[in-house]
Parts: sequence; C-alpha cells; structure tokens
Amino acid sequence: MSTPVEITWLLAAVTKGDGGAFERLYAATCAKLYGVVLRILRRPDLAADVMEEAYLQIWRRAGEFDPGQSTPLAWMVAIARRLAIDRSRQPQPGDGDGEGELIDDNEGPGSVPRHQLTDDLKRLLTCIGRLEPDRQRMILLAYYGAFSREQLSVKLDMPVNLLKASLRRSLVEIEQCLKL
Amino acid sequence: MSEIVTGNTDALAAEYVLGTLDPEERTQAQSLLEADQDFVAKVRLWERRLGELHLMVEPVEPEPKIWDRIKAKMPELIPAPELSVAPPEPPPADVVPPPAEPAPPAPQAASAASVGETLPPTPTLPPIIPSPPPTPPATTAPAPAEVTPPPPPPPAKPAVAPVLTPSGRRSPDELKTEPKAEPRKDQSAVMRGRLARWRVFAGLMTLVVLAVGALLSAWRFAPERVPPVLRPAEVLRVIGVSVAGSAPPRRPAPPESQFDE
Repeated sequence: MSTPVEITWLLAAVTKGDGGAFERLYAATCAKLYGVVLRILRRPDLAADVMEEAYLQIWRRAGEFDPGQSTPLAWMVAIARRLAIDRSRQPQPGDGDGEGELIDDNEGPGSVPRHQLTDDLKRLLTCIGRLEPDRQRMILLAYYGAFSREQLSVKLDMPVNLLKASLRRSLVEIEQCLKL
Repeated sequence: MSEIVTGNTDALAAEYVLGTLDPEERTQAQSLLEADQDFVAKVRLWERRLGELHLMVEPVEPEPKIWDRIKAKMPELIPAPELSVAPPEPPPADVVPPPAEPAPPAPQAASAASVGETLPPTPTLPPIIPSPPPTPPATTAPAPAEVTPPPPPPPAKPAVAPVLTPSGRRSPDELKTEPKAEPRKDQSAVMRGRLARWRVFAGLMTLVVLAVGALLSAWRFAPERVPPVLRPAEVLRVIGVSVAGSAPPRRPAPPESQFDE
C-alpha cells in the first residue's frame, strides 16, 4: 500500500491528465476501494460497476481533493462508498436470477495493521469505544455494511424508532467526543 | 422530509455519510447537497470524522477486467490530440524524483470468495494500542500537492494507443499484445510519401541557391569570364529591370574605382 504522500502525488498528476499516474493510482488503491465496495454490495458484479464509476469520478474530480481536509485514500473511499450506498439502495436487477454470486454477510471490520493505525483512527475508535457495546456494534455495522435503519433493526432485533434514536444519540456523542 | 422541515440537517448529514438513510431520505440529502453549501460542509465534516474507518477494511484484490473496463472509458478522458503529436518525451524530472513505483497490491490471500472468513462474524473494536510511529495522515500531505508531479512516461502505451484508435474503445487484448501492424503500416507509408516529397523539394531549392551563389561570385570575382547572357546587365534586362542604359560603362567601373582610390 502506498503512503498518503505518494497517493496525493499521483492524484496531483492525475489532475494534469496524466494517464500513467492514473494507472498507478488505481494499482495502489483498487484493493482498498474494492474491499469497501464489496462489503457494502456483497456482489462482485455490482461492485465492479461501482468501481468503474468511482474511478471515472476520481479521474474527473482529482482536482477537488483537498489535502487539508482528509487523506487521499479517505477521499477516494468516500466517493466509492457514496456510489456503493446509492447502488445498494436501488432495486438490484440481478437479484434472484442467480447472475451475481452473493458473498456472505461480512459485517465486522478487519483488524488494522499497527502501522496503519493513524492518530485520527485511534481518536475515532476511542470515541466509539465509549459507547455502550450494543451501540458500538450498531455504528460499525452501519458504516461497514451501509445498512439502512430497517435492515439494522432486523439485524439487531430492535424496533426501528428506537434504533433511529439510538443511532442519532451515538452520532452526537461521537461528534462531541471528537470535537471535530 | 421531517429532517429538512425541522432543520435537523446535522443528523441527516451524519446518517448520509454513515449510510443508514433509506432511498427516499438519501434522495433528499442529495438534492440538499446540490442546493445547500451548509449541508455540503456538514457532509464533508462527517466524511472526515468517519473517514479513517476504511483502514479497518480488508483490501480485496479486484478482478483485472475491472481495470480494463475503466481503461476502455479512458480515451474520451485523455486529451488524445496532444498525446498523438507529442513525441514520447524523455523523463524530464531532474528536480523532483518520480514517485516510487507503487508496489502492486499484495496478492490478497483472502480473495473475493473468502472475504467472509477473514472477518469476525460480529464487529468488535480492535484493541487500541499506541503504535510507535503512526503514519501521519493529512498533515504531511499539503506539500506534495504543489509539487509538479513529473510524468515518468509509462513506456509509450498512452502515446501510441490513442494514435492508432483515436476514437475507438480499446479492447484489453489489443493493449496487452503489441498493437498490430496494419494501422501502423498505413501511417508510416503515408509519412514516408510526404517525407520523400519534402526531400525532393529541399534538394531543388538547394540547387537553386547554389546556382545563384555561383553566379554572384562569378560576377564579383571573374566578371570577364561570365558568358554574356549571364552578365548582370543582361540578366537584369531579361528579368525586366530597366538599368537606365548605363549598364555597359557601369560594369567594369566598380572594381577599378575601388583600386583607384
């Protein structure tokens, strides 16, 4: 995995229309983006569509990346995630016809190699860790699987209204804890 | 809708980023994103707050055909004319070293099929252990953004391909195997024809220059040996310049007058 500095550099080159840099950017980041997207969509065919759209957007919008706002990979992941969530909310054409192989639910986060545990992530995990265990699980499930409240309420066996209130309280607490 | 009415766009932004909105709410959030800069800022902030969570996602190597699909959409994005004109320039980077070639993402032991197995069935927070030197995130980034990234040209592929198929989609096979010979032959035959014509033209012009040069030096250094038809007065007369009838006396005069004084 390339460092944020290298990825920022590649993004800057892509802004100038450098196709070679774009190819290297893809090579350096595609596994991460695909991991994120596949976890949300759980179908390789849909994930491939989203990857294509995500990288075309990254190509077009590379100039919008602001190094002061986020890391380059987080910026790219945000684009891919947004598209994946949009896609997951659409009726899915391949559903039920056996065309796309459905990958098993994978709800939880993996582990982070220690050298990748950034200060920002540590702060965030500390804040999430202050929530009650049930709410920790809810937030992480929501983020990694991008489940709607209805889906979450089924998974967590919790009435939707209660879940919504709990979700929002948790987000407010995370916001206050981060002071960001 | 109730969120917008009550002005509770904070929660909407947070849930938009988290990904828990239902389709209808998501559509509302998206139209708000186009209309309301305030809301855009809130969404950006939440993306920043939660952004680093991606570090806990296991990378999964995508199939190569995904890149082929993206690449197939690229010709319309790459400014092709510029590439076809510009020769493959030598690496110009003498100021900035080219970025280290990113290692091809490590072949993931967990392929798409086995994603589930690599992950715990229920999410738990990994232990937060202070790690020796955490890679600094955003803070290190600003500088390189201004550095002009050297384009270390990936050998000729982008430069050649658009020339061959300026508008067409490139199929993966075409790119992997060296581009086939027919189109190139056509191109080079045309080029050779043009080159030959220019060479002939240049040769003729050189001859003309040599002839004029020879005539001028003959006039200057050996006027008496120049055949009468080619003497200045005669030439000027042929060309149609009137010399006011003073040609014969004037011709021998200049050299002599020089020596007289």
